[in-house]
Amino acid sequence: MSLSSAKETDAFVAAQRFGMGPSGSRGKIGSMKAIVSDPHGWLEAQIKNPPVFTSGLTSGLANQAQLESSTSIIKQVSGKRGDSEAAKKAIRSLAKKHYLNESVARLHQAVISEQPFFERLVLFWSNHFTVSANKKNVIRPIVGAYEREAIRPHVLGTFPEMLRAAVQHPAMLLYLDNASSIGPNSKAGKRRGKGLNENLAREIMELHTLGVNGGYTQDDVISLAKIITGWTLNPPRQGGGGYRFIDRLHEPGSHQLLGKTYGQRGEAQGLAALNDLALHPSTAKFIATKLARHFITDEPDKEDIRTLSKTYLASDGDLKAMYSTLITMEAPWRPPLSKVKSPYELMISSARLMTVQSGTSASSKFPFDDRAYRRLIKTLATFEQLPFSAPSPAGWSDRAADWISPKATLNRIEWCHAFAQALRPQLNPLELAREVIGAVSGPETLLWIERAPSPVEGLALLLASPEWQRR
Amino acid sequence: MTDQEFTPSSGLSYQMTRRRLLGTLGISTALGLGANLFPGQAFAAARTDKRLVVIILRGGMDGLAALAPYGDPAYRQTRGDLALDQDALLKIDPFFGLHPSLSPLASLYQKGEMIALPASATPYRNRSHFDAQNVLELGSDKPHALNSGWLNRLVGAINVLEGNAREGNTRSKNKTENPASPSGELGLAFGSGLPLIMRGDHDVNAWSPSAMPDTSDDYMSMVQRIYGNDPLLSQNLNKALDLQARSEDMTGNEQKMAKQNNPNKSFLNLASLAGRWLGDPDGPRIATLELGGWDTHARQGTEGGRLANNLDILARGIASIKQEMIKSADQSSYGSSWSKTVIVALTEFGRTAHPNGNLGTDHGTAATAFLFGGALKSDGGKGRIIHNWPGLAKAQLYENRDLNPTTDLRAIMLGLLSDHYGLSQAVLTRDIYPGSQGLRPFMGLV
Repeated sequence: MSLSSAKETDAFVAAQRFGMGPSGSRGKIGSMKAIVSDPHGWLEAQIKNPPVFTSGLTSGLANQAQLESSTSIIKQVSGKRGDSEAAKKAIRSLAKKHYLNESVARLHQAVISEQPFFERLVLFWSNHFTVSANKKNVIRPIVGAYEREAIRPHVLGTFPEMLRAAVQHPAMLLYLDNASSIGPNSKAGKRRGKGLNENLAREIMELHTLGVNGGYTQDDVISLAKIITGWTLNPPRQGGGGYRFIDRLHEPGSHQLLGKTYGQRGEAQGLAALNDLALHPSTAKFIATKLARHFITDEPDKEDIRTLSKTYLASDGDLKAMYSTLITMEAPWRPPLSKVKSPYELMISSARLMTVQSGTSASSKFPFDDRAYRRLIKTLATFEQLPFSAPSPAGWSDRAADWISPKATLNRIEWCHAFAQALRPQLNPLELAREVIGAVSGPETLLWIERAPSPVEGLALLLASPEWQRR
Repeated sequence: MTDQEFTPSSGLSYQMTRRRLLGTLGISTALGLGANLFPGQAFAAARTDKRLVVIILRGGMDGLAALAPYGDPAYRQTRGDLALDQDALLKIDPFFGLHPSLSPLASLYQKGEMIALPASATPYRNRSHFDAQNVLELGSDKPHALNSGWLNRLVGAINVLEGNAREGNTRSKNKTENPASPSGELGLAFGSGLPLIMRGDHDVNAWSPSAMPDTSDDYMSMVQRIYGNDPLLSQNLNKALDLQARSEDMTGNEQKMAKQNNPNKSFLNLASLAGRWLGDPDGPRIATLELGGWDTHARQGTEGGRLANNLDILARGIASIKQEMIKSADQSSYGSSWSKTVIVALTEFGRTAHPNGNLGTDHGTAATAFLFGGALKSDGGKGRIIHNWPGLAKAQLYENRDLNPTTDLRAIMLGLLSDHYGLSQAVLTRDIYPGSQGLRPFMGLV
């Protein structure tokens, strides 16, 4: 491999594996030509400061509603609560409105972003701390706000901070039932005879921190559940809606977790426990494994996991340090194409490609409007990857073997054709292919794109090609 | 050609009748499928005609709600606010009653087409959904201990039993070796993806009606060309195209209609599609369906509510599998495949015996396994409830909280698979459920 082609391969990896695909008109930020001069530097620059979340307002996307805070949405929903059909319908339509606005805004943000590496990290952490719109009508309207409030602000922060923000967010407290968990010996518990719900406590240890083999027992689950009793919502009908610690619900006394006694009173007890969980060696290994799986390969090497895990422990879970390690490691850069794009990634990167082909920059004329995004959302439903709707608290799997199937493969290929047809490319597909996948593609792919009977079929083939389906 | 040629050398009880042979030839010729079904041989050994459908109930179904042990003296006290109303229960038994939403299943029970096995569980004793489902689907005794699902290995065992007749269906561990081989139809997952239980070295497939617009054949063949160097993608694409062609033969216009109605999320739709395919003489022999929504941590409801709605969907789905299978039998001379069918509904674990603080239940241990189908052995025409009931009083619970597991799910399956497919215990404990040698198989379920 010559020096220049190695650089081009690096640019491909930076754009696709770390980013969300190239975008912008030629020569501008985010196009392959801009990345190729310094692929590593292009990534480093994206994790200095978080981007502004545009919510579509500054981008020429018409009809984009102002997005609202989860507290305000929860108040709106609770104001409409009632047993009548009309009340239920009003809540459903409110949920749908917020859900669609958030989904469109999130897709748009990723499509126009000049920090696609950051946007990929948002998806990664949002999936790690899954809150799913599938579960309840009360979750659906606030899942988008949850990601904006609990995940995005901490993507360039530390893991302990993000853990606390995610666990204390009303969406998570409702999703995993802690909002209504009551210490059996708390004031409220004694009076009402109600009790614990161990759902959140278990998933914090299994899915957010230690991992399932991280060394905790059923007794630890119960202890942590007791420790975080009282972590709930400020009652929306009394002007609340946000997070609040309510001592009346909190299980009194000290509790043992992973062999350590937590004697703090009130909320401090849970905060201490969360912090210890966040900095536990099992957590370091678990987070390192997930990052390696996302950025290197479905079954990453132990050595690479160890490298990331060391950075985690040395930096007390500093996430920027983790990303810098990833960028400087060799493994994520070789070989290219080891990961299959998820349906969501495939759609975002294909939409970003359209900003290349139309020759327009993100801020001027753009081929995507609300309706186009809503069509994408419909398609994502077919792929069982609706935004904010993972099937379980574990999130979507990052291993291709867990979701790829004959049917899924055929669906993707059919979608590429439909998408190319809907967008009518203006560039020569072969030229476009040479620019965006040329560094990694074999002669066969370029040959068939050249032979394609029409520009639409040529573009469809580019999108369906292994070089575009993978990253 | 004599019957001898169709009898596997292992001496198991599989027999090919002349009528079945003619039936197979007639139908596969009519559909133009002979070459695909039996590559390389004019008449390969016929496939088993026994059907097995596994429905995976993801999230942990509350077995005490599905089949309430109302005769247990501790029932009311332990279940508290979640105890079902005695009058509403479908009292198919003096001790156990079905949830009122399960009336289609009570009808199956009355015809001898249902067996319930309360207090059953996998060998996994912790309470993680993901590890519990992993054990349920791998057929292992601990999580992540094997690299293929037990139904996939069952496909392999049946292939061996039938003398390796369909070489396209068995494949070496190196998946890249023959990426273009025609798809096997012995195992089919209804849904757009392959669940873990079906994954492994042996060829199986997944299918659901598509909501995507059709594309040109030219485009597809060009894509096939550029996938030549990508074994994972090309293998998946080739299987899908093969199955799509056959699906159009089989369901014709209904498939097209399904495309327009975006039915992919509906369990009921997939169940009736599964019934139709399973009823076809050339349809799959082993199938899976999945239904989620069982993780009822809060307000799970009693006679009505969230859990009741899910039970209703499950019961109607099972009823529609039967209905579609019988309907297809009416339209052919093949006879009803329902009488050769067992449907197994399994969940990863049960839930706590007591309600939690939110009128829901947390992750527990033993649940109830259900078998349905015309192949089941009845008890004087009625269904059966087979159990070693552990009791619901506090001291009888597992870790003072969950229904105690007294039946190992693997023992149920060891007996069932042995009776249904004629597989030996030696093969079953080696290939399907390694580590289950000490268990006593439940014989005589079918």
